[in-house]
Amino acid sequence: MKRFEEPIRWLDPRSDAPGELRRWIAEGRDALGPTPEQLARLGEFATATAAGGAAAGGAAGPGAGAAKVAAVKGGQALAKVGILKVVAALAVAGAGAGVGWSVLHGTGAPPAPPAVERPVDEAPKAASALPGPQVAPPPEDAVPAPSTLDAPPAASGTSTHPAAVPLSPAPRTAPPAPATGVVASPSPSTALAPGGAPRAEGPTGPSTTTAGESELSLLDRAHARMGADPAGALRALEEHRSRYPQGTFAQEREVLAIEALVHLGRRKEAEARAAAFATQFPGSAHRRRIAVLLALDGGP
Amino acid sequence: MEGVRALEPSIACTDPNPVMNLQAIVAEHGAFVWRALRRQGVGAADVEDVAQEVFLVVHRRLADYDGRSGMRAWLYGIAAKKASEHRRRAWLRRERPVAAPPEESAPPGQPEAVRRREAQAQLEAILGELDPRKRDVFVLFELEEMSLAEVAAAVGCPLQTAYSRLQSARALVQASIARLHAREGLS
Repeated sequence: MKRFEEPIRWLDPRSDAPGELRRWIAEGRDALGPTPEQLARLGEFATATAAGGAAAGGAAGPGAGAAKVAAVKGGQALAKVGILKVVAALAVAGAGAGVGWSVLHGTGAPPAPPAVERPVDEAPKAASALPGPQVAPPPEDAVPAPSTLDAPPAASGTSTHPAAVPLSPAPRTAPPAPATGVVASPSPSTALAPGGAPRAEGPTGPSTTTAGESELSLLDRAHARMGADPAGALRALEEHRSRYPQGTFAQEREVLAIEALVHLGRRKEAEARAAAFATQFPGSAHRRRIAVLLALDGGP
Repeated sequence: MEGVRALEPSIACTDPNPVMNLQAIVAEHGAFVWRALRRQGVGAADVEDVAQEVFLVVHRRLADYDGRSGMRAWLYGIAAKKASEHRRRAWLRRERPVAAPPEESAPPGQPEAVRRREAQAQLEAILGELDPRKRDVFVLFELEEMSLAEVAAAVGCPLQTAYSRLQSARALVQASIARLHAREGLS
């Protein structure tokens, strides 16, 4: 077969692509992607599916498939139901702007009344009114989707993975990231009004808490301040860096720090930090986000 | 094919831990599958469901994944099939295709968000002018940054074909941009 030289990608500055096209690609390509919440839900789905398959020894595979088909036929989001509320740190690795800790917060939720065998059709909405998983929404540019609050602990009518959907009110099953289990965050998640769209923009929580502030809540604080107060965000991130240099969310911290630096116009530092990130986390899914952040600053 | 890079060796089909395995795949490629579904015409309202369908298939067929074509190419094939099924169902149910779903409405106001949306609109306008087969290759190569060999595996065509589709798509995109400039120059 004739061999081809791999073309230089247009995103590559060495390519001959028009500059604005490069920027459109860099900024526009993620637009159809999931929000961090959606991605986290997908991660939870994977956890539940895989756990079900493993527990039921293969029988769950086809069963799950059948259930899913039924769900789709019904046109309902059946599969959004009955998913374990799990600390899915892996799901955090998405490329979105936020990094998904809002969902991680959900794990700190008090045990919700186990909503059992809810009819398929209204399950998500009904369950969202439960005093269940606290999901702090991401600030600013995230979609204010009420479905963020879904992820109800209800088993669906077609119970796909009996083993995977325990009715016990302890929604933490085998958290893959132990460090996140400590999200006994003293902060804003309490401000949740059922069905409302709580905002985490302002310093609603104890904003200057330092002692005992968890790794995650530090990042959360930084994230919440990013829009209005990038310098404050950066301070929180530096605090995170000094306290949790190799923390579970070191990558997320670095991405946020780069974002803050870009917002502050400290481009050189942002670039330096991006370069360090690339060295330290060569295969990270966040590198795309970083490229977008840097492209933002360099745009016309 | 010699150009194929061995991707994601850590996600081998023989991983004894299926829980971690599916999770890892979703964590690494969930967003990719999501975007692929959207680009294949799955609407914003349905994409989460269809993405779950895709990963159910992945879960069932993981043992058969041979790793030869690369994980993303494999996932893309599954996603394309599910998207096609979805389009058929959507057509039957609602008697309208979902080729141009409305975009999610991120709250405006943030300059960055606005810029991103503008960039997105421009990009989509340009992509919309391409025929689907060229567009798929263009998107996977330029936006998703897959190697051309991966792209070929994903869309199921010879490398050579992928190459020529890419070249042709690029030429069309350049022409679109030139037209855009011409229009701006006139106005």
